[in-house]
Amino acid sequence: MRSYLGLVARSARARRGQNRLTVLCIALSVFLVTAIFTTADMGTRAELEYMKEKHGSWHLRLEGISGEEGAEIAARNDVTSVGWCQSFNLEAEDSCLVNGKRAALYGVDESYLVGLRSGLEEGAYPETDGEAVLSGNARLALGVEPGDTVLLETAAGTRELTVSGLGSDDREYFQGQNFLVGVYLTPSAFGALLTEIGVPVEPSCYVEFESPAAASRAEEALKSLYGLGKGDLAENTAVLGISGVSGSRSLNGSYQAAAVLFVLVLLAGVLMISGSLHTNVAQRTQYFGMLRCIGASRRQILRLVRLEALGWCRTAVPAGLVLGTAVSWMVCALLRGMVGNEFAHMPVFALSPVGLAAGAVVGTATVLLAARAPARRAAQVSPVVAVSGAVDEAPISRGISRLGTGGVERTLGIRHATASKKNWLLTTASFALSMLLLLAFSVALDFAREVLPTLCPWQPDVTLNGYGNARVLSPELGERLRELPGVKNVYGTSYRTNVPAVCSREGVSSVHLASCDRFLLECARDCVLEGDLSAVLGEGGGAMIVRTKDNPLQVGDTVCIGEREIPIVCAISSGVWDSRRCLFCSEETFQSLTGERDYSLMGLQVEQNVPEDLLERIGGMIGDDVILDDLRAENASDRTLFLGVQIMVYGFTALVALISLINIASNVTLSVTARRRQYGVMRAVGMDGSQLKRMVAAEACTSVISGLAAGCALGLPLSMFLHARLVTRYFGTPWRLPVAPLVVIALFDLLAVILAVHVPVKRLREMEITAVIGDL
Amino acid sequence: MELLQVSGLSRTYGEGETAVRAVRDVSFSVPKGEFVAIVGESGSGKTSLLNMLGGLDRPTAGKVRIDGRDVYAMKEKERTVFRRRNIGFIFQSFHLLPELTVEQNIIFPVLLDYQKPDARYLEELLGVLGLRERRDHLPAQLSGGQQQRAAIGRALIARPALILADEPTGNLDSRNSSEVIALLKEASRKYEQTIVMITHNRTIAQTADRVLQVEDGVVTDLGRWQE
Repeated sequence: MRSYLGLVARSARARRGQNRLTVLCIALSVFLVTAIFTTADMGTRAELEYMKEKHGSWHLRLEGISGEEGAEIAARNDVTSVGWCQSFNLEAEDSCLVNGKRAALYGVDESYLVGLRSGLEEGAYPETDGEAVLSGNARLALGVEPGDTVLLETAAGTRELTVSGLGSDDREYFQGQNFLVGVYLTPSAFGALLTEIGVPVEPSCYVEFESPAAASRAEEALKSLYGLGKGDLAENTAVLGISGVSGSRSLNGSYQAAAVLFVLVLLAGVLMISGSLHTNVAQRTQYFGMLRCIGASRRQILRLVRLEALGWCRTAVPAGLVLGTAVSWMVCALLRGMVGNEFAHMPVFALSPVGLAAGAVVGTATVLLAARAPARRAAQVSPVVAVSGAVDEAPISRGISRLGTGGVERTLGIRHATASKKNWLLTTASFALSMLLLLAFSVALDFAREVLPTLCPWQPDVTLNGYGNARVLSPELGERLRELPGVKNVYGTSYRTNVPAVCSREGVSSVHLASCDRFLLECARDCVLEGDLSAVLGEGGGAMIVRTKDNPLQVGDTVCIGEREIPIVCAISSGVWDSRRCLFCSEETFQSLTGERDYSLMGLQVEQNVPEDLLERIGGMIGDDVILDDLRAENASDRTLFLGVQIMVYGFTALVALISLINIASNVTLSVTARRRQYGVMRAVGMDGSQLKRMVAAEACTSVISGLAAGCALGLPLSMFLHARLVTRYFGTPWRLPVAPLVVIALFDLLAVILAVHVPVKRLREMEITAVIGDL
Repeated sequence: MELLQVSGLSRTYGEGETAVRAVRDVSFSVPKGEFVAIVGESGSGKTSLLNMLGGLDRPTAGKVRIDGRDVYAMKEKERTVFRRRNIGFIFQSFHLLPELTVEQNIIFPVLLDYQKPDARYLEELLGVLGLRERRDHLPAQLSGGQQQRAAIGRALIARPALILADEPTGNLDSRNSSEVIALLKEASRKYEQTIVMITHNRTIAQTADRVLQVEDGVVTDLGRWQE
């Protein structure tokens, strides 16, 4: 040993078993932070790719830009690509037909369709103006393949087009429907056609920058340079939002929520490490005091403790980083392989600089910071205190006020838990934080549930929708559809927009009216937020509303339609139709108000394995004025996405819970180890095994209960805050007491106490009293 | 009447070549109210013997009977309760519980028995021990002698028949040592308690009714100390 600092290595070897728990706590904290941040990083990367695929890789859309200005923008150093697009007849209101089917026309350049939207599924971009790309559903709707010719009928006449390829700039929109086909022409062909029809040619300019941040920076410059007004510049919110640079106000709430979660995860790591270090050094006060006795200066003691802390990091931090990365790879592989869809782009074996840096910094910085305070305390120990041999724990400055005859062991246990205020605070805070995370993550799950409306019980697999929501679907059609093989359920709803009404609430002069059949009313039962649904049923005459932040109608309002007064008796969390100013009533009420019984929309829920020709058979039963939409792929995608979110949320919550549990157990174990001699004396003077167990249990319970109380006191308001930001704000669903997470926490508490008590007590009981107290 | 009967008591630590025979076939008995001192060199087996007398360490062979009851025939829990009610321990390093006051430390064994301490007896003890004024003090606020007196109080509170003390004066100066021994003797006389005490102090050994010498685990009865 060349220097006194060599003591650290020797001491570490001698105290290997004792240090194991500390190293474990640090490694677990680093692991937690690394795993969560790495997975979040990978998830963000995957989401970005998915969003690029879905919404295109462009960052800004500019209106009113000329070709020359576009070329100027394309020449900028920070711009990688510029594309052009204009659409016509998206709502199928004009008579544009392709092979007799309704057509939406697009004028797109190759850079937009092939580059920025990655929209070409098959074939090639048109080489001449006589060629066009048709949306993917043309194969189903028109029975065409690339190379075939189609006839395009417009107000300017009929022309023949060769199908150069299949694809679209919005795959999801065209997929599965056979009402509307997209026709993508070259800009010159499209411009000529619009000129012939008499529609101005005003293509939008889509710009992709070298990075989302560059796009965000360029926004203001472009606005002033080309005199762009408020509506002339739009962001690709999905892509910029994922990158965290969107100026969208609606995303700001989500950023705040993410920031809170980020800080919580960091804090959890910091607290766990601090707690374990504090307990460890408290236990070693005598040892440091002895060092002072034999001549170590305070500064030397501080150096020793710091070096020792770094020694722990040397093992714990890399272990945590490796473990965290490995677990995040497993999670990514699971999400990519089993869930797919949005997670299909998940990088599996990629290293995340963010995750690794977060883990390493949290581990090392926290250990150094946390070691500082106990190191100071250790340095302050008087050599005299060390010589006396009475420095097992922190100096006791206050006694127990009362010892009852009911259970002295419990009183002592509580006292042991609270004797060191700092330790108690750290344990409580660490446990409370894990509760906070659990409650926060449960809100994230609520958010995911709301974002994915396809998880509603009424979510249809196939919809039939009268064009312009016309009420053209008869109840008899519903009966016939129900008899088709593979069809599980059919429901119908009628919809009338802008019905003149007099409302008790000011500013509402018209409402939309929607009917709900028995099935939809049954589904509504599960999403009642306020009021009584029974007055809506049958001929009850009441109506319900969907509660959102945009809906002016509230429970208690009355709406007069004609002679009839309709009270709003119930609010639900989601509905089939646009919820703003919409009254949902029973079929009977709707009929008595409008005299109509046909539906605007029918939803079909089908078995998993349906006959291949089901869609064709349904198509044969409906007229040309009905839009048939197959939503099965989308539903499946949403369900797997929700499964993925659940895996992530529950996985990490379980991880946090597990780490917190280990933390509590290790804290109690360390505390018991520190009081070993005291417990030996108690046993010598007559404390039996079960009393010992009760005493340690009381100690563990105190930490757990205080953590629970602090966790509830902070976690419930946090849950309310996050819920208000993420859920109530967008979907109107009010916050409710998160019973399920609280029950999970209660069970987890029980487990924590059992685990925290079992191991140390077993060890103490197995040890001879004489071995524990040594000098009897 | 014999309070403590020890017959054929042996204790071996370790096995094979490394086995150490700390106590070898020891037999003796101590009548009620007697004050016995155990003397011997360090490592001679005194503490091992005392541990076994108190039911803290299991002998390899032999029996210990206290008030006619075989200590090691009892189950662990039963032995703990028996120890709590019948044996008082006094340690060299006092071993008071740091978070409890003097009074709370003294009544602690009674509370472990879920009993209410006898207030009059407690007052009497505090008086005898000279700790009335210090009853609400924490151990850290006491001198070594006061701490040991509190430890004696804890050993006496349950009115045990047998008090085992392992060098109770080892950490005290001579004045405090004399006081503590005087207290123990007074208690022994007043409450008819039997005391078995390990000591290195010749003066203390001289005051004992009988002296047992331990050498290499073998006990020799020296009777009253003779110079």
